[in-house]
Amino acid sequence: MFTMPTTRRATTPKPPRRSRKRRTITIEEFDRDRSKAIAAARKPGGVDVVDSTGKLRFYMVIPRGTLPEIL
Amino acid sequence: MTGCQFARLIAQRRDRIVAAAFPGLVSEADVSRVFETGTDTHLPAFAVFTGIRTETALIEQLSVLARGSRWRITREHPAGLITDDVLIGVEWQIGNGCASSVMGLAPFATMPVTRRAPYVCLAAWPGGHDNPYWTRYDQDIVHFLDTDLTALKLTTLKYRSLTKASKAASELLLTDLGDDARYYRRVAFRLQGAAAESLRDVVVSG
Repeated sequence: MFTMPTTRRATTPKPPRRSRKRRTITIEEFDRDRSKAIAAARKPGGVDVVDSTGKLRFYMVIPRGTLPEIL
Repeated sequence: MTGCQFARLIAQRRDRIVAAAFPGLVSEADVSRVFETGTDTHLPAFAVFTGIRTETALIEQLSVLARGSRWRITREHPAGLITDDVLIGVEWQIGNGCASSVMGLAPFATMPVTRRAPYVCLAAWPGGHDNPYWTRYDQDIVHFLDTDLTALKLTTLKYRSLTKASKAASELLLTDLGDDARYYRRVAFRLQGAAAESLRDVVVSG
């Protein structure tokens, strides 16, 4: 009987993808060192800007990939 | 989609915008911080307000912005447009002597189709008159036509063809509804007439 060749399945499951580390800077750091904030925003995943209690003020990103066409 | 072919090109390539998401009501200083980052990086800046779902919430956010010295919220009355809707302009002082005329996007039925988006958004060019092809600008105000397009490496011919395509695309999107892009040059948001009362203390005359 003729059978089509199939690709061999991996016997071990793929390890779960590690969640990307979210960078965080405080609003004080943001104001003190804007270039550091910009560098963090340029990294994959962007940066969370938080207040002194750790509460999220905003999330900023200078994306490196293609954006969905929202404009 | 705005129909703007330049916006499409800017959005499709890397490192060409600054974007920030705000989960709730936000201070005017935080939105200014994002726009300042756009000034520092010489990139268009976008503030996305993921927590705003209604006109009422948007008006609340606009009233917070209006309290800041760098923000000016205006009532606009575009020539030729007869409507009960309320048209609102938003300006942000860049710090270079110019104000940026901010573009608004929102998921409301009153918004022109070219300015509808899943979330309320303020988008601005926070630089100077940096587009050599756009010469008929107002001295004291910049908007997206003033955006530095150097990174796109456009020839004059390509710039003209993109301008023509942008006009055609936005006209196509708007004309079926009897709308016109020229009404929105200084307009960030088009809201229901009922919003006028709540905006009374927020706006200055445009």
